[in-house]
Amino acid sequence: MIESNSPFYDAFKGILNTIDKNRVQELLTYMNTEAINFNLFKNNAFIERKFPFDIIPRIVSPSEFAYLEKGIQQRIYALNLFLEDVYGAQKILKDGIIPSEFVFSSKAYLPSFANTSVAKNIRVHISGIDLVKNSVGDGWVVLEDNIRVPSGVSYPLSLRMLTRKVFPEFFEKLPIQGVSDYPKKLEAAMDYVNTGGINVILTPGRYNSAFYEHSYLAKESGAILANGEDLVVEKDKVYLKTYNGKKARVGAIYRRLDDDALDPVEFHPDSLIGVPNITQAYRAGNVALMNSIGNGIADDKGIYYFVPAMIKYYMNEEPILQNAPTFLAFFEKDRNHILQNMRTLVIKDVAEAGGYGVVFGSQLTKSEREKLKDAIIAEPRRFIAQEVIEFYDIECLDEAGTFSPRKADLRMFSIYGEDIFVWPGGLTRFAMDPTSYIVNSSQGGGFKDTWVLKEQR
Amino acid sequence: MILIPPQAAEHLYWMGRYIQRAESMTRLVIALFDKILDEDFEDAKAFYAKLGIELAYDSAQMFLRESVFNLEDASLYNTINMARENAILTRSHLSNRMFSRINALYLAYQTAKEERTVSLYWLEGTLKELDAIWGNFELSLVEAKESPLIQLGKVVERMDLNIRLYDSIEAALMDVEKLNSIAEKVRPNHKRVTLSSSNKFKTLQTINSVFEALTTTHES
Repeated sequence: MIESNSPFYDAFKGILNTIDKNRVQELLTYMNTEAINFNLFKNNAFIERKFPFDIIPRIVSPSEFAYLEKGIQQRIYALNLFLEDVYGAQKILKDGIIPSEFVFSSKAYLPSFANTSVAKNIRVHISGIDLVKNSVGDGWVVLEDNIRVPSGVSYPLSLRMLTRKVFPEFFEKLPIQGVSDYPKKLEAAMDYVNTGGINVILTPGRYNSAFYEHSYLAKESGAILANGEDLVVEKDKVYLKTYNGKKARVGAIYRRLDDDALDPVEFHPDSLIGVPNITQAYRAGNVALMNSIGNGIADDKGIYYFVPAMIKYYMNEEPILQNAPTFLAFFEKDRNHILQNMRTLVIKDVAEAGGYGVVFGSQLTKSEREKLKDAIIAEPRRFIAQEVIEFYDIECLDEAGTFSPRKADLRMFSIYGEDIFVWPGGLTRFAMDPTSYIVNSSQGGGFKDTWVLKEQR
Repeated sequence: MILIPPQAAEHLYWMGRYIQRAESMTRLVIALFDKILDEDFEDAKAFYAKLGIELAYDSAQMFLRESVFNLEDASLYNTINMARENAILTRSHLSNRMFSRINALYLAYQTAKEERTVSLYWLEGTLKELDAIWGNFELSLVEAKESPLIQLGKVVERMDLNIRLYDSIEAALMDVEKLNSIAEKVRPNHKRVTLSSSNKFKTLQTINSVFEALTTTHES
């Protein structure tokens, strides 16, 4: 179902009808020339992939953005407090709001980092909250809190810069909020927690799907893009090696690799992309890591269930944004509900990400369903189930010039520095297949820009 | 302090080398194409044999296809691809214009390869693009701190090719002063290179070890 007609889309289409559609090809050429890629690693092969995009944006009204902004700020604030608590006094566990065993049984909880303090008490520096707009009730629903290494901001940002050049008409006639300050906000947030030294973006390297983004953000924020091999830890301080034999002290690192790859001494000993002993420097308070180590416990798909309770507990406020109705197999009552209603639920493996491990019960054969039931009974902590949300489609313009609907979500990015900045844009991801609900980029989905409109006076 | 990590420095250096190699080899292919038509049909085979490459062709057009696309590591396509790979790895150090020019040239090669079309006219056009890349780079202030590394790659490759392709140590010697001048910008305490015209292999070895010598030790 397409979101009901809004005056903004009507205005957009009115302008679109007056312009030469062949200019879409020009936009595509620019995207190719700039190599704005989201690469894939499939069957052990690296595929340099153009990130498919569509020129029809998601349009967000000023009032809708104001609502989302408040809701995201509230959520990030609560998640940050939760992380401070769970790696500190653990009051929320002691007060029984979240079962201790549920937290301690998560692989994402890292007890070795308990009582490690972080600069300015900020742990969720960069976040990407995934939302959909429910066609039932017309409300926004949070699907996931990505507060480890969320990617995607550079794609709508790059598309916006090119769209402005190719289709200036939209920007002349519609009150679209600018988005170009994201890298400067990132730089300011890095400076805010910097412990003394330069800012670095740590990349896993060329074969990471979002390497384009790492390069882009480094260039635009003034940080140095570095591989693990470029950094060295000496006396609990991190240094950037330079080609001419000097070393520069590093004060803040926006790391784009997961915890388990970050430090081969602390985590996975086979990691070739990490920095040996970087966690020692982090523990000593000599370098700020963005995002902090151990954040995975807060965006664990199971912990998601408790975020509304966290908001009430820490902030004494009602949650502004709603969760999708979720059942935890960990709880017996919920587990029974899941086992009895598998056909109507989406079942998610909490250990998976990127759209993997997501199963629609309605699409399973009887034997697949039985197998999944056995897995849920054997490892209830591993699974959650959600009611299928009939979220809105957004129109896409296909090659023939016709409009066709696709399921689309919205990833909204925020940066936690002196305050929580919610970017007035976003990555709208859409399913390439008209029958699919899976929009993830790593599963072949495409993207759109997100235009947040300014209040007109 | 110049904040360029060792790996990025190496990629900048090799980007310079591959762009220069693409330019030199493109000029060579254009010259050999004329020779095949006007002078000696076998001339290109003999030239490539000097590089240890067996080249088979039965027409000037086939020579063009082979040298541009099919010689695997030695093809112009591969040379441009390698220049582009190094540009991707260092794009946070490059101006957008510099990067997109290199990538656009690679895409032009890729399209030509897929469509199996190549002509001398097209190849001359790519040479203009390479000229524009160097020109763009000379004029850009964005790559100011990266510039000596790219220039080092350019001059080392030119000296190397002068010796390998044309047996001209004399031509390489003419670039020594430039090499030293750039090397001093890369690292001020650089030990100046001296070359003699007597030993081709030793000269090649000396030229090709300059970058490594400039980037090995690490001080606290």
